[in-house]
Amino acid sequence: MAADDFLPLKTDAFYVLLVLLHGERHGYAIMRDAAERSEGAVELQAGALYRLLRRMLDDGLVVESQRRPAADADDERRRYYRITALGKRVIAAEAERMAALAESARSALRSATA
Amino acid sequence: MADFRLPPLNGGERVYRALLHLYPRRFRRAFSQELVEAFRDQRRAASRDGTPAPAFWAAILRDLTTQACAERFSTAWRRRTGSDDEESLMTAVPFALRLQELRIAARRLLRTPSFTIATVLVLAVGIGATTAVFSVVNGVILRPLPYPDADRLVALGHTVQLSGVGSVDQSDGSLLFYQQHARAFDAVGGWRDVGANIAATADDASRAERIDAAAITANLFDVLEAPPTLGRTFRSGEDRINAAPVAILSSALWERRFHSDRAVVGKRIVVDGVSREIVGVMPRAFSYPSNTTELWIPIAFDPPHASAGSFNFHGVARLRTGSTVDAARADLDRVLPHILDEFPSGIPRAMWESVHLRATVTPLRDAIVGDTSRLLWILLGSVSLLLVIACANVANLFLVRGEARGLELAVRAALGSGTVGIVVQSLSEAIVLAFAGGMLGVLFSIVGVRAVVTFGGRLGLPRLAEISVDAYVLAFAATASVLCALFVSIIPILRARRVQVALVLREAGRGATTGAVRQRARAVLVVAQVALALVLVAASGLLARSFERLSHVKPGFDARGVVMARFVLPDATYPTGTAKAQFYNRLMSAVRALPGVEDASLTSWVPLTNDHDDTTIEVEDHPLPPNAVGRIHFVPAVDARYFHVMGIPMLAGRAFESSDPKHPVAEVVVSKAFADRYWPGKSPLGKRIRPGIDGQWFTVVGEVGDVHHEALDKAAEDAVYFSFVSKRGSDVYTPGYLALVARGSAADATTASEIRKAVRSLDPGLPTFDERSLMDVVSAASARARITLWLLAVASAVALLLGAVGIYGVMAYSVSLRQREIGVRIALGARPSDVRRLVSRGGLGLAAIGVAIGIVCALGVTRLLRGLLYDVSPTDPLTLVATSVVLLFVAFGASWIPARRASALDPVEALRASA
Repeated sequence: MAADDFLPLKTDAFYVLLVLLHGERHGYAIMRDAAERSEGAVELQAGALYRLLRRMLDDGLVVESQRRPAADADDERRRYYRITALGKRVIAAEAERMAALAESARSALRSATA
Repeated sequence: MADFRLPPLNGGERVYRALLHLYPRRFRRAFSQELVEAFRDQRRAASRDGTPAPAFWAAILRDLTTQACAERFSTAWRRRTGSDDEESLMTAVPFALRLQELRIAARRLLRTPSFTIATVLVLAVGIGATTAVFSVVNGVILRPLPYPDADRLVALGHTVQLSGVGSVDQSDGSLLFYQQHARAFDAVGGWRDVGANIAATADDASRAERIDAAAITANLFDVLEAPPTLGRTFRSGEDRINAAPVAILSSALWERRFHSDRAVVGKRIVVDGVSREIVGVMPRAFSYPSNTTELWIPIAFDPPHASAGSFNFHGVARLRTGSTVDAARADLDRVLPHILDEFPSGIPRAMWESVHLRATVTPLRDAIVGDTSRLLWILLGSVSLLLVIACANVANLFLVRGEARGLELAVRAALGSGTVGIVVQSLSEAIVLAFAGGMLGVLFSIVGVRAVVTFGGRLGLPRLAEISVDAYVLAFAATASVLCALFVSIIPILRARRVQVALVLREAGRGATTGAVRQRARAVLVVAQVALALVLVAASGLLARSFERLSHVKPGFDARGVVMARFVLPDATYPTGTAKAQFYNRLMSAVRALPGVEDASLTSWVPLTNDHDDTTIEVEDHPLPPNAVGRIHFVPAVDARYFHVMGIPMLAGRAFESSDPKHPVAEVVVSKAFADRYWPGKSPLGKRIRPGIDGQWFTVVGEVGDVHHEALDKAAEDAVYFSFVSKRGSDVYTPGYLALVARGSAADATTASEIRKAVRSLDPGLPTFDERSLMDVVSAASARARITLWLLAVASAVALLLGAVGIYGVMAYSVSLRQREIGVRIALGARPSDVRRLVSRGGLGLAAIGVAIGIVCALGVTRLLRGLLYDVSPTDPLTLVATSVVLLFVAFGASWIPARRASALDPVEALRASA
């Protein structure tokens, strides 16, 4: 599937991909970082997160990572998730879509006030 | 080897792990370990942040239930839409579903009358109850007010920062001021409830009566855009003090007093001793400010003497086209600071400013509906649950029917009728049943709505006259019926694809464990029914406990044997305080002398009625900071014998000395709560207080027990009792609006009629009204709680019954399926008690799962009841436990009969029959 087929992304999904752009994370770390980056706007609960991950895994936006970051090696049962190339293309396309939206709104506002 | 890094499995985690089974299996297998890890992390974070355990669990459970439902749904959806024959099914069914099919379905249903009647009745009860409550919600909350452009009508009020009170309405000053200066409105009007004595006519002296009336601004009907049926409405200028006296009749009063005489306009009616010209009659449907208002008279504004500070009026206005509630509020707040330039408030400006008066603008509909909307939504929620339970029950019956016809369907499938035929058959039967159930349900709801309109007044329901079964209600009933039809037939439809012809045919021949899959679907339905029933029963259990607490609240007075009657002394006949006081004193001696009356007294506020009397009170030894206003307290005006008549204990001191207008006393009696507030641990006797901000000091001479003045579920309030004859400067002040209370030894009705005669003998033109026993007053105070409780109790009794029927059906059917197995067990030496235990354990198991799920749901849902509960927590553990026990007990009872039947099986017969 092309990256455009996934647009527009739901806010939750957007933040999950955004968090994963910064590196591999396990589930709880995704929840925590998403809340932090969105300044509390996205507060995913575990069930919601894993349903989202399940869909993203099915769609090929994220994959389970085989590697374990050394720093977190204390718990080998945790699963880590990594963003795929398709996932990166999707979030990039979404960012561009939002930028275009924002720009058209800005210029409309400029001409409205001018 | 043990994994020592694993934290010990604690109770909470075990519960969470168990609840993960709500997720579909595939999802659970993939993620349960992860979910538990996340749960641990969240729990650690919660304890670090100090999140309270209930909040933590509420978030976890909400996530779990919503996500599990969503995942299950999407799994099912993917499974069904994944294959392409489903696509063709979705398009083929509407084509196959013709009127012809429905006729055949109806004929088929008629061949099994008991099934059909049972199903239609169950659906009709569910749809009828839901529709009836919806029509109330529709009439009271949803439907716009019956005036043109009703969304532009708003109620105007004010908020204040004053201890003891948070909001005030309009004063004559503020109404006149807003009419003059506010720009956001087409018109600003106002009104005030007044009672009115309608005089006897010349030809019939017995027809003096007391009615509800409203004093209104001349433009109020224009604000509402409500035209009269006869004559005209008020003209501008008629609401001034020297205008010619006029009145407008309600259609009820017009019929009663004037026999619907169309020439009534121009005639006169005597209201409170003043003869007024009748200028118009309002239509029957007009019921503002309330549906008991029978007469409208103009307010007699006196602009040069109007006060900004006595808030005795309600404000209502029509927004200018395009204006909004917020803009209107800003507009009022813009002009409000200048009000004292035009109208004095009677208090110093700095003090006026210290209370921070701010305008409020509320949609008129919200102002009228008030807090009943919450109650109505809760009732609608409960009956909707009932409808779902009813549907689950019917769906169950449907499955049994499908079972019985399994062979027929399999043969049809084998002959090539295919899935479409089976779906159409199921669906058409469901549609016919739901249609019949819906029709009958609408009939039920029409009866129900009649009952609500008759009894709804006791619930304090506004807009009663507007409740009816209209197009919206019918649309609602139709939607409910369609949803029922879909719900009822959805399981057979979902299963239709799975009919494995060969298997069914083989099993039908052998009669072994047919329909194990269907049996599971039925078990799920039963679990859902039990869970929903638990929610309803728990809710009514909570209300029952709350009601029980409420009925133990002591009102603070002894209502037994006391009757009340009201009358109002018009200023026209009794112009001065002295004249009123003399009449009251004569009346008291007359009533006290009546046979059967032990004692009698007067009060301006009969507790637990709508009376209200409050004012700011300044306490001498608690000096106020400059420009501050004293706290607001209740100030009933009473006769000295009041405490004795009402059985309110005198804790210290004495009552007032005298009610002689020649020697008005400056004495007050305070309630215990008032004494404790200002002089905790000390005697209040001899202290001094004064009402308002200046004027005379009153000495506290007695302390009495606390009384619930406003409501039983509110704390007993501080009160200061003044004598009904009090000194105001050099004048004597006596209110014209007092209620008579008398303690009698005879029956209440006899005492009331004696009082009526005594009043008439002193003043034949003075009607008494609102004659009631105080026992009625007390029971009316809890009427709303009682009616709500009854409604929910009936709903939950029906839910319990349907749940029991559901469990019975499943267990009875499972016994019939397992005849062969049970027969073998008995033949091998199982005792009857073993067999009974086997079967009832199955029923109890289902019920237990239902109870567990139900408790989780109830914990979330009962929070909505908070405003209706008195002194009971919405998560009261005792209620939840008792509810669970009741449900398990019912489940046990329902599975007992099939269990007994199973244990009485003759093994030879059973084996031969199924061989």
